[in-house]
Amino acid sequence: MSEYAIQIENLVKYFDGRCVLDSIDLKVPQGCIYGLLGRNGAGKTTIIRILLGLEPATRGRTIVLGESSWQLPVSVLGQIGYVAEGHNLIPNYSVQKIVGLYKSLSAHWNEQFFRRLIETFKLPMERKVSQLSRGMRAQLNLSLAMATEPKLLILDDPTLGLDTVSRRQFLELAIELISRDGRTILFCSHILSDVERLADRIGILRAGKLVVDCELEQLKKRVRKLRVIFDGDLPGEIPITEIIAQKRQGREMIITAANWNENKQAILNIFKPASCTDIPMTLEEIFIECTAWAGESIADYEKEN
Amino acid sequence: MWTLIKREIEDNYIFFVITLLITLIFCAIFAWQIYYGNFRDVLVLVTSLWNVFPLVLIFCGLGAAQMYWDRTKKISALLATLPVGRGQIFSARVIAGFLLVVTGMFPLAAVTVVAILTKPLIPGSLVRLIFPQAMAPVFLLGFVCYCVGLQAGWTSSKIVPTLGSIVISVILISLIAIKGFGWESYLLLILLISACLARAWHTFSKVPL
Repeated sequence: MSEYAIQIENLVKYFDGRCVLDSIDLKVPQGCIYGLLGRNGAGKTTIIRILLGLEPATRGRTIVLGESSWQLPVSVLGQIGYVAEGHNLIPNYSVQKIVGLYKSLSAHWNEQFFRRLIETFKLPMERKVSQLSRGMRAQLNLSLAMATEPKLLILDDPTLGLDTVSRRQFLELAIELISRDGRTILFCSHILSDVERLADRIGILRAGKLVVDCELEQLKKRVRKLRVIFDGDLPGEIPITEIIAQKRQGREMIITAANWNENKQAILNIFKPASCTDIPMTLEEIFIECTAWAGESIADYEKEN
Repeated sequence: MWTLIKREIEDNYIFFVITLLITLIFCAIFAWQIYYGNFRDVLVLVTSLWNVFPLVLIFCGLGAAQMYWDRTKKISALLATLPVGRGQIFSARVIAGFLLVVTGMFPLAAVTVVAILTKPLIPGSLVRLIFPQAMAPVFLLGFVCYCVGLQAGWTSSKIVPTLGSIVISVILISLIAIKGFGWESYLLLILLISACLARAWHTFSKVPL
């Protein structure tokens, strides 16, 4: 078995002549919780659909649990749990019936865990899926995916439509699931605080390109926001590459830069700043800066090509 | 696999109920014709078989409904994320269609057998021709119409393929009505079934779900 649960190499996808994924390279190690972020239409769902074999790639290679994702063998599909964006469940089925379908078709089914989830979420078993609220559908979908005890869990905006309490319940359950024998989780979410809480590796997609792919802590170290104060007038252009944002006011300059390292710090020191202090950034702030940035990428490993 | 076939039958039970109802009505009329009607020769049996043509529309409808609902309710998109291959989903669908055709045809065949066994007046040479030259092509015709519907259902948002499939069904039925039953009909129908299934599978296996 490969050390990676997911391997994406040079993935390209076109829809009607429009490039939605542009040479994506991504590796998700086994047991990793990978948070894939991006604005609407950045290509997150397309990546997930390609990984599940629901959508063919235009070019490139996608490997899931050691198998090519287009035409995944049934044995591999049995190890994947998936929660689709919009919680795609057969609308005219009752909850009971859809549970029965999952039970019959899934490779594994943990009835005890499922019952616990159903009781936690208080899901009505007799009601039709179409009569459930969006939040209830999300809960049902999550419960079904989790009860199959997947080795790889793919969650496409799983907490979308959940209220605060249900979201918290989901997160606690997700943490419990993660703590069980090293499952790999790939999840997309717009709620960055959730991602920050769960993920240990982050990918940020911007207009079909993966601009960030590194560990969360690494990302926080690499994207730095600095308040630099000078004694005299502000210097002109500072020759530091990969500056995401720069704000000048009086003697103060606020710089946000990617891939911060000792060389960049040394260049800054040449201008003899009176003080240089870090401004702590949340993942949300990093995300906003990165999606607005036109630079290349932030990654903590050498890209193969 | 059984779960998938069961799901197809349960989701489309209305087609099975209507088919069974129509078949039973035909069987009753058929039996009445044989035992109480002005029955002279076996031609009545053969002409009665033409009564099954309303059924082929139902078969066509099932194929179309299976694919149409699959697309609109994203059923395959859900099933394909479970340990189920596209081949299994498609096979289950076709088996359900086959079972519907059997549901429609089997009672008629059973009544024919009973009629033959209990009416010794029917000439033996004609009796031998009923099954290979009448029942089997009618069965195949029903299955062809199901397969045509299967294709049409996936492309029903486009008017041309939908109308095209209806036109093909009408031409086919007319052709057999004019040409009559025979080995040529067998060949034609088997070729059509193969072509329709191959095309439907090709589309289903390649399309994004």
